[in-house]
Amino acid sequence: MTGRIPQLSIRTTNPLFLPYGLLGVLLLFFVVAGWTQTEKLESVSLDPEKENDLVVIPAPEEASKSTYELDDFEIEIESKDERVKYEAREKGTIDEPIVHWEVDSDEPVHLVFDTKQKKFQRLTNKVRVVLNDYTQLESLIEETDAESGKAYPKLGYAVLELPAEKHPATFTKAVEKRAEVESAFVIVERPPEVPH
Amino acid sequence: MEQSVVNISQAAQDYLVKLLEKEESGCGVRIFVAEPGTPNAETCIAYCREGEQHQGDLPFHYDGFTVWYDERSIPFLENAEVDFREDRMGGQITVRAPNSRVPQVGPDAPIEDRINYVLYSEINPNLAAHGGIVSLVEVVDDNVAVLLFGGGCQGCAAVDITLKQGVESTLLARVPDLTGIKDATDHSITTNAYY
Repeated sequence: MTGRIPQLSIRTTNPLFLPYGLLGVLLLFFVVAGWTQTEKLESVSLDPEKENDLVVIPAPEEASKSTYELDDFEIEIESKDERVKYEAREKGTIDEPIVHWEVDSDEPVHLVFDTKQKKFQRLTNKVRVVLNDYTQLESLIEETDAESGKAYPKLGYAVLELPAEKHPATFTKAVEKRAEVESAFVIVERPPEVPH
Repeated sequence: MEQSVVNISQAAQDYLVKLLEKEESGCGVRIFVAEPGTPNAETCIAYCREGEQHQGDLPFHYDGFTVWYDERSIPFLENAEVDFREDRMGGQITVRAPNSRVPQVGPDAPIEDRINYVLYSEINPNLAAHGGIVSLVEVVDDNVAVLLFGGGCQGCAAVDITLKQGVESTLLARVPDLTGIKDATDHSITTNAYY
């Protein structure tokens, strides 16, 4: 008995074994760090005149991991008791994190994070599309499976309404590749009006 | 270059830029028609700070400021003009919206516009015989219209009959997607009541 205890203590503190332990810890750190920082989140535009930096937040079921690293922020997605917590921390500051909650339901919620205004925002199921020919609006609606649309040529764009399950950010990226579309923009939800 | 919904003259644009420079950054204007398509229609221009836009508002960017149009008001702003007239007091913005009171009752018109059309073309001319008037406050969930009675109808002992047999039956017949009517009038005030 007395001979075994010193052997054990030698095994854990022996400097000869320390480099292997450290190597293991470092290896684990790099694996974890690599897992959480490489994937780049897609950005999307709100307005041609504004430099909004909207980063598309993946839906919880689509998120391949729970932490995303942006240039200035770290974003975490966590499901908790039928709710989903979205948390953004600004790097290099000790500010409180920006937290946004959503109820975890079958109804799709399309979220973006505005890095300028530092807040999470929901996208509406409408997008603004600048066309080079507004007579093609009907065929555009049909071919893109949009629900409906209305052209406002005097304003220089059309507004398309999308089915709830279609992600507006993905839709704008896809529709911009079409010949008749010059550009497309998402629309964020306005906070509900509070009666005075 | 697009021409916007409302024709805002250069003088008006310059004046608005000067006004908005005094406001916080990102402040624009919102143009809308209150009670569109009715005799009470009023075209309004209001300051619109960042975040004060309503859901569905449509932007148009001028040099130096942004105009947010209320989507529902757009048909009523057809041929509207905003100008700036200088005078001895400094000057003022003038708004001309010839179509703000013209009902827009096409098949795609919002339910509010179709209700207002029936109220002002059929129901109110009949109520006027008793000095009464009814207006639409809002359409709530499930297409229920909330109405407000005024003049001789407010506090009138016969308002339930008027509502049920006259207003409700006419509106439900003319606006098929309407499901019901609610009266938001305070009938305890009987100052002008007909009965």
